[in-house]
Amino acid sequence: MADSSITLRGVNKSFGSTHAVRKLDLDVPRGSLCGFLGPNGAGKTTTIRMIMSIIYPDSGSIEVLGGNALKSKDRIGYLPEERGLYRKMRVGEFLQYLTKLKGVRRRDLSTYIQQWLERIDLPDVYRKKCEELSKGMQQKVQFLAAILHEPELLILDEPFSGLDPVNTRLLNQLIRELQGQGTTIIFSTHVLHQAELICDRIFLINKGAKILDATLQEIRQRFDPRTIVAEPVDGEVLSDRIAGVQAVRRLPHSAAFELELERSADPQVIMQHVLSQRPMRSVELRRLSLDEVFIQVVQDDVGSGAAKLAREELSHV
Amino acid sequence: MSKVAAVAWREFKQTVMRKIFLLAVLGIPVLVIAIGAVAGLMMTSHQEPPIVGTVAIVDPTGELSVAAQIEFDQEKIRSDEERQQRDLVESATEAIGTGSIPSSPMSTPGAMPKAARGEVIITIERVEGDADASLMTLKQRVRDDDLLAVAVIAPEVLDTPPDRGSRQRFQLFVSEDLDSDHVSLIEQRLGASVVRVRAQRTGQDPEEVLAMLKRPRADTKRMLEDGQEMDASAGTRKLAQIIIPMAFMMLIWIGTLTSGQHLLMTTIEEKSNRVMEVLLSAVSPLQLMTGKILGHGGVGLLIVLIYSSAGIFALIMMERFTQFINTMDLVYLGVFYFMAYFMIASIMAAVGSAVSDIREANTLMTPVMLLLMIPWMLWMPITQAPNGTVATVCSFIPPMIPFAMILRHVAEEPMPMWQYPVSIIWGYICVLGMIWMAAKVFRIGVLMYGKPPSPLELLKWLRYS
Repeated sequence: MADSSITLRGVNKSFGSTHAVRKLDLDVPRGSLCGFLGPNGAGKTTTIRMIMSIIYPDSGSIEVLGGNALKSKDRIGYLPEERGLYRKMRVGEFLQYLTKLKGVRRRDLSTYIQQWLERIDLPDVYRKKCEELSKGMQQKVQFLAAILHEPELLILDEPFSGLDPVNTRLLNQLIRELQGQGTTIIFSTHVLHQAELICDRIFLINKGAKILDATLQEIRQRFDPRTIVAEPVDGEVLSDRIAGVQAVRRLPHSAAFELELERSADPQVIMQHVLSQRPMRSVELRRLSLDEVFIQVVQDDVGSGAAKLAREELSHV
Repeated sequence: MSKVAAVAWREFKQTVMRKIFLLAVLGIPVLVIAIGAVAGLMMTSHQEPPIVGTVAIVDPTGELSVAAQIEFDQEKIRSDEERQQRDLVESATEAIGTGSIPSSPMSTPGAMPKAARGEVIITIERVEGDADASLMTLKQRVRDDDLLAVAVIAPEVLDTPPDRGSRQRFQLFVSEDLDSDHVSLIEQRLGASVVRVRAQRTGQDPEEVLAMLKRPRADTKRMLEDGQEMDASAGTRKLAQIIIPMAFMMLIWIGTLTSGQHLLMTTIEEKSNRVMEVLLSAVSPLQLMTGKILGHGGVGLLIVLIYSSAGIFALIMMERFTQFINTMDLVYLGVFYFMAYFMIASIMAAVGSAVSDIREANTLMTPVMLLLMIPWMLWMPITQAPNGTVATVCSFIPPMIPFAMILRHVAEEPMPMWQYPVSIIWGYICVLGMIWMAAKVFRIGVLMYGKPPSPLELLKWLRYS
């Protein structure tokens, strides 16, 4: 696909008797911010490592930035899930080394790095040894190592793990800026609600196979629960005799009610009707979270056994 | 290529710029020389305690007592020791100058290159009559510290010519507290007294006889096919046969082992620090491994250059460089160093990539270290028979090839010319094979964590594409 940054076709990868990735097809549109999601052990990291040509598929083809993955390494930024630094190396030296490995040859490299360090609120660490930094600081340095060479494609594997809210917001802002400049970003995580906040496209993967590939808009339309959540001010029970409403249920541990709509019902009309009946603290059209979408997709895909596993997985998130 | 160079340069810089490296490479030789100098200084400055006393000699004829009076004369002892020290210094100077090693400093009586002796005043007491009758009393006097020693020399020991069948021994009873060096002094002086009596009995000058016993040294020259003559005297042979081959092999061994271990440690460090995946996002495993091997190869080469330069400088200062080393020796040193290094480095890279920490590495390193000890086990057999079966076979078995070949190359006995190209070409083919296998293991191992692979699993990794 000409407007794809990454194209995978029929990719398979096994480790011994374990099938890590099965017949995976994927198209990542150029300039998009894609969430590459799935539970632990789903095959995300294996797929990313194949995209990075760190490991190679047993079969199938991978095209990255219009060519061979190995030759595109310098145009890709990568923040792996397993964070790593040379503990005894100085921060500036470490960033210079990685940037040079990415093929950057600029005379003002140290100034350029210093400017970026200031940008991520680490102005005084250039000459510090990596081991002297806190975990959060190290993570920001690693993020910097992934973007200093101005990649066309940026792959971030769990970029927010271990970061405080302030730094999470800072990284979030940088990610959006990079996307605004045309960088294609793949954001891999098993924390689905994080992806929901920033991604415009989602790939869901489970047990090495893709189970969902759509924009967030498409997902919301496809997985519309057709449910209204309303919370009366007086806390009294809502009547279920509303036209277009199939059932009314009180939500557990809450004063709110869930109104399940008929397929033909117009949610806007019913919401107006509910508001006109009694004073309401809130009335909203419910949306499924990605967690719920994931469970539903897994249920549809492989049956209740897999869904149970997925639920257990997500309950640990 | 620039990525490989960047990795190589980082590995080289990070290793040689460490204080511990500079301390190890430059400090250890300095430390060895300093310890030697201090030990030598302590030995020469140490003065043995004085000795004053009487030595009784059971001497029915009276000849031995007279000879002993001369040998135990205070002035004679001092002048003899001064002459021996002078001889020793001359011998050592000559040995360094010609590359010789003093053949036996103990060959003349009392020739001990050691501490200065304190004052020696020994008087001789002649005991006439039957030894059996007076011996008990004399021994008691020794126990009571009235005598330093009692010597009982059987008459047949003084016979001329000496009976070759007899054991030629005399009895000496000394006090419990007598210093062992003083015991040696008394033994040597009594022995010299016996020689003096024998000489007198045959009507010869004892001093001339003792001088005649001193053996001259041979100044041997080996006649070369090109018409030149090569010094091949005993000391030179020792240096050419033993010291020079050992020095060349040691250079290669230290260079490869030190740099190989650095390679192993940095690979394990990158795995345990989890920086490996970051690196592999920028370079391929093969590029990374190549860069690391080249970088640490440079470290080893630096070590070899430092030590060989020191050796060459020493030989030049002694004006003996061209006698023992020629340009081709240095060329072959380079050829075999790189061969040895690439072989060892490929093993180290594979081991380092396959394990997650240093404890796991120790398990896999045990057989590797045993392998590296083989050159030392084979050093003497190869040096003594450079064209023997062991030497020839080892010249074609990796990783023995470079070690065996350098020992044979600098040995006195030239090896068949055809073995040079065959062994070198075969050696470098083996290098390529070993690097290929290491690259296979490295590519899979660097991202593997957890239980270290068994040898069977390592073989499986070689089959993976």
